[in-house]
Amino acid sequence: MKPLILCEKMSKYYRRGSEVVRALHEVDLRVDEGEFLAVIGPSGSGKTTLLNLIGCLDTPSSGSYIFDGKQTAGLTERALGHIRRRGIGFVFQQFFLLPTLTVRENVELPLMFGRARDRSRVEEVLDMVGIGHRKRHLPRELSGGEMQRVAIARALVNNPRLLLADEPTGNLDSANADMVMALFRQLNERGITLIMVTHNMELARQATRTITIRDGKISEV
Amino acid sequence: MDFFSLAFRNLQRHRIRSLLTVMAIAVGIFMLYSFWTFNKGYQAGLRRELGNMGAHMLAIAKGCPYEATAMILHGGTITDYLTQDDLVRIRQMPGVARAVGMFMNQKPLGHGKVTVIYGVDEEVFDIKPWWVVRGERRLTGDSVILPEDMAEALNVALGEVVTIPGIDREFRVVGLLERTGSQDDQFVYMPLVTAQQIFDAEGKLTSIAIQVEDLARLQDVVRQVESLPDVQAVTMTQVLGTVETLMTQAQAMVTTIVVVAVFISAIGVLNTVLMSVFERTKEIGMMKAIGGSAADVFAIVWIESIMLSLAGGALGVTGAIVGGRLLEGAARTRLPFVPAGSLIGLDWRIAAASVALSILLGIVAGAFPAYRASVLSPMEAIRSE
Repeated sequence: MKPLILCEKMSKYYRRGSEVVRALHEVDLRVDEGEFLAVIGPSGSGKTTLLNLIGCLDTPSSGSYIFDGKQTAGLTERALGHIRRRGIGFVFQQFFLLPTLTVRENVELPLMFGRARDRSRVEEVLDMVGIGHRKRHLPRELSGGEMQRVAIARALVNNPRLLLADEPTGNLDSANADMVMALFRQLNERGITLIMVTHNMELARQATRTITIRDGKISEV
Repeated sequence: MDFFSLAFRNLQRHRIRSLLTVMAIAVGIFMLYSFWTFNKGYQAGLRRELGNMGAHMLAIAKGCPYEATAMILHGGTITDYLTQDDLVRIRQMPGVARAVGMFMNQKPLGHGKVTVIYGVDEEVFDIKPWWVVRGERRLTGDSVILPEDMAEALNVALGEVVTIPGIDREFRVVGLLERTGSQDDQFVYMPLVTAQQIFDAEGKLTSIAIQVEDLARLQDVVRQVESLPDVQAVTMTQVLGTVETLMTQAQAMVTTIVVVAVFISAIGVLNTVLMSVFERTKEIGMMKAIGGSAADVFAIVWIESIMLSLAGGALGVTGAIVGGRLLEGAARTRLPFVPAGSLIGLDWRIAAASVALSILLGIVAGAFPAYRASVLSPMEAIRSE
């Protein structure tokens, strides 16, 4: 299998006052195309840092990170933005839907940023996540589960090869959490690579592979 | 969905805040447009008024130049007079085409109102050939020519007898002066001799209107007129200069107020947009995460700022055009002299310049918030509390 993600001795350090915090330390990770990886670990272990690095929201302090065969170290914010727009979809715990835009318009945002003229993909992904019938509604008119489905549709609209989800069920009840997980499995079966950060072992078991982060180091479960 | 509709929707989130910001800009632009058009209208009106004098210069008794200017423009009380001899001498001067003796004075009516009496001979029609008079042009004895509006206000028709307010005498209305749109519409015209008698100034003149044969030789005539004892010559250019000097201080103060108002409104836009950026830090992080570039974020925030100021500018100009009459009315009651005719009106060039300035304000005021938003790290923005 071809690796979509390849991290070698990747570290991330933060400076907090005079103290240097080692969020990730010399991490090695390979994720092949089509995998569904769950990342678990206690709070402050470095899960979100890992996700931010993989999602090109941040760059490593040292080591290397190759996404889809391209070295990301030293890339400008513009180039990282291009990778994010083309190849990566994000799902956040807090949904981050714009309250004055309809469901359809929220999903359309990435296409607007990509200057895409053909916006027909919006309808497709809305139907894919089962929210097409609510496309003219505003976020405040939706349930938490529906809002997360809209956020997933927004993440999928650019046809990304990688979907990153940071605690995607953190704000949902168990029924909606199950529905989101079923959707993730379905997307994974369609060939989308998924990396999901969670602290819920039950949900992590639904992934094809699970890793644990503790004190900035990775171990396979 | 495009950047403009996204920016517009963002502004709709806090409608009251956006509306207040628009109002602040509107007030600044309202003041700017009103002041600008009033100033322009005032200058044009002043020139028009002086043009309507029909004379190139006036000879008056030596005294305060401001008093002389006030009398020339809207009548007044003058204590020093010229004589009929002065008129004869001026008429004989080389370069003088025409000289007309005038007697102008006023009778108080109370509450600051006055009746301005203009004693003239038929020769006045030589320097004001554009006057259209219905009825007689010849003034004798107790006859008057009244401006049409005044006759209407006094409820008197051509040929009827009227008691002129402030003068307890009856006069026959022999002529009606059609509206000129100038200060001439404010005066009661009667024979020179009659006016002199009313004010116990037989043989006296308040001014002599002079037309010269050649404008290039105006200064020669000025020198000759001023060679007469106790006589000064005031050219229309000097009158214009005097009024403009009087107006300059008021203009400087108003300009300062307008600039401060516009500056404060720009600060308002900056504050509103910057606050909105702080409130949406996480959303901005999300937009960058899903592919929005720094330039995209900058553009969205900048458009919001420009939309606010553009709306304020358009509202301010519209308000000034619609409500300009009120402002002009207020100015007329407070300024010592305001030319007749409309001063604040629709001026496309000033309207376009005012709106353009409001856009510029939006561009300047929005640049910093837009920059702040554009340089936010997506990761830090999403994690911000």
